[in-house]
Amino acid sequence: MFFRSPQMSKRISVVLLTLGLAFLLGCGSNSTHTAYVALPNSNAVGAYRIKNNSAQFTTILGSPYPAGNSPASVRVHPSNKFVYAANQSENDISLFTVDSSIGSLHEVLPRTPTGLTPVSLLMDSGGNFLFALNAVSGSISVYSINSGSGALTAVAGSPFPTFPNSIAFAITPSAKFLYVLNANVASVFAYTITSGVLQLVSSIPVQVGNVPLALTVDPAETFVYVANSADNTVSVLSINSGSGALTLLGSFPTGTTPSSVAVLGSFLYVANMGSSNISVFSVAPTTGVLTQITSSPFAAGVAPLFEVLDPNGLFLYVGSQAARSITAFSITAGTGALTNTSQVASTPVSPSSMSVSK
Amino acid sequence: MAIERVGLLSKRAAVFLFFISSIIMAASSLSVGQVAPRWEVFGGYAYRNVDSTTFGFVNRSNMNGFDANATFNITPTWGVTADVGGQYGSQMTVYNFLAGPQYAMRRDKSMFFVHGLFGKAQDRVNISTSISSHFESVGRAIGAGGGYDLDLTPRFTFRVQADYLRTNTFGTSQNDIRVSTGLVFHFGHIGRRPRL
Repeated sequence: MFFRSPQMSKRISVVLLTLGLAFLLGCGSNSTHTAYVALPNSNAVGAYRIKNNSAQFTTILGSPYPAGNSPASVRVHPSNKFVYAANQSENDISLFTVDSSIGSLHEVLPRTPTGLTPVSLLMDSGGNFLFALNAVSGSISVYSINSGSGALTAVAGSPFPTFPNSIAFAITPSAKFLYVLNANVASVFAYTITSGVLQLVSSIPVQVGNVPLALTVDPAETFVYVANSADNTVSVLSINSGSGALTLLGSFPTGTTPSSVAVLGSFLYVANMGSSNISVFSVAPTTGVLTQITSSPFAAGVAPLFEVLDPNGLFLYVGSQAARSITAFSITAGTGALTNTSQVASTPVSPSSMSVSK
Repeated sequence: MAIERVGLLSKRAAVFLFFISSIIMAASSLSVGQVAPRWEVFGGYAYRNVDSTTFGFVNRSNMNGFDANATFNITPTWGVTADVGGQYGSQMTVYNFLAGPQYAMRRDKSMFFVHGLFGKAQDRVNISTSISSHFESVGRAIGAGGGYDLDLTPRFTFRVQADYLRTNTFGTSQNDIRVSTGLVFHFGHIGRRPRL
C-alpha cells in the first residue's frame, strides 16, 4: 500500500508542511474600504468592497440596492454608517443605513425633498451637514445630519439661491467655503458657510473657460481647479483664506474634453473624456503653475468621466460611463505617475458618481 | 495578484495541511487492519471558517454547527462516505451535502482515514435591504480531508476530523476549513468477525 513506505509518507508530509508554511507567509492583509456607485439607469446604488493594498473589487452581496428615480450622485458619511443618494428625477434624497459587517445598504423611508433636479451631493469632512446642488431650480439645499439616525433636517434659510444650471460644487476641508460651478455663465461662485448657512461672497463670480464640467479644492485650501471641457484646459484659482474669494491665476492645456479633476498632495489629475487619458500635473505651491509630469497623459480606458481618490492615497478610481466600469490606477508616491492595476469593477449600467468610505 | 491568490487560502488552510500531513506521518507505520465494521455512522460538533469575504463581508466568518456522515465499507480499506453538515453564524447559515470515497488505515484500537467529497453547498446570508431580508445560493462543493478514530467501546469510537471545502455560491468561490469531533457508531462487519 502506498502509505506503508515511511520514507514516502515523510516526503509527503514535508511537502504538505512546506505548503502550509507558504500559505501562512503568503497570507496578505485583508484591510478594506467600501465604495458606493450611483447607477441612474437602474435607479440603484452599487456597492463594492475594495482591498486597501491591491484595489481588488468585490461586489457586495445584494448590490445594486434600489434607490429613487435616477440617482445622480452618492455620498458616504465619514462614520461609514450612512449613504445618501440624490434622486435627480424625483427631486429627493435617499438615506441608506450601512450594515457594518458587509457594507450592504437598507433604505430608510421617507425620502427627503430637495429642489428641482439635484445633481450633486457634498458633505463636510465632519459629517455634520449635507449639501445638495439643485440644477434646474438654481439652489443649494443644506441639511443637518443626525449622527445617530442619519436623518436630514433642512437648516434655516435652505434652499439657498444660486444660478440655474449649476452643475458641480466643492467644499473646502475646513467647511468654511463652498464653490459652485455654473455652466450657463462659465463661472464659479463663492460662498461662506456658517453652521450650514450659506452666504454669497460676491455677486460677481469668477469667469473660467468654456463649458466647465467639474471643479475641486486642494486639501491645503489654496487653490480651486476647474475642468473646461470645450477649451481643453484646466483653470487654477487661488483662494483668499480670509474671505474665500477667488482669483483666476491661469489656465493650462489638458487632453481633449476634460471632465473631472482630483488633487492628491501636490499633484492634480485631470480626466480627459475625449482623448481617454488622464493628464497629471505637479502644482507649484505658491504660484499654482501646473507642469505635466513625465509620461503624462496616461491612458485611461474608454472615455473616463469621473475620478475618486482612495482614502489612503494609493489609488485613483476612474469611472467610465461608456465602458460601464470603475478602474483602479495605482499612484506612485513622489512622482504622481499612474499605473493601471487591471483591477476593474464592472457596473450593470453606466455609473455617474462614486464615493468611498474611510 | 499571485500573493492575493495564495492569501485566499488563509492560515486555516495551513493548519488543515499540517493536520493531514500529521495523519500521513503517523499512518506510515500502521498496518492495514483485516477486520472492519460494515457501517460507520458519525455525528458531532463542527466548526467552520467560511470565506465570506468573497461576497463582501469585511472578514471571514467563524461558524458552529454539526456534521454527520455515514460510511459503507466495501473492503476493510475502502468505503463510500455520505456527509451532511450545517454551520450557523450571526448572519449566515451554510449547509453541505457531500459524498465520496474514503481510505482507511486501521489498527487494533484506532483508525486514520482520508476522503474526497463532492456535492452541493447551500448558503443563506441574512442582510436586510429594501427588497429582501436574506439571500440564498446553491452551488457546487468539493472537499478533501481526513481524521482519526479512537475506540471507546467495541461499538463506539471518538473521532476528530478536518476538511478543506471549496464551494461555489453567490457567483464566487469560497475556500473553507471545517473541523469536526464526535462519536462514531459501528455495526456490521467485514472479514473475520471482530471480538466484541
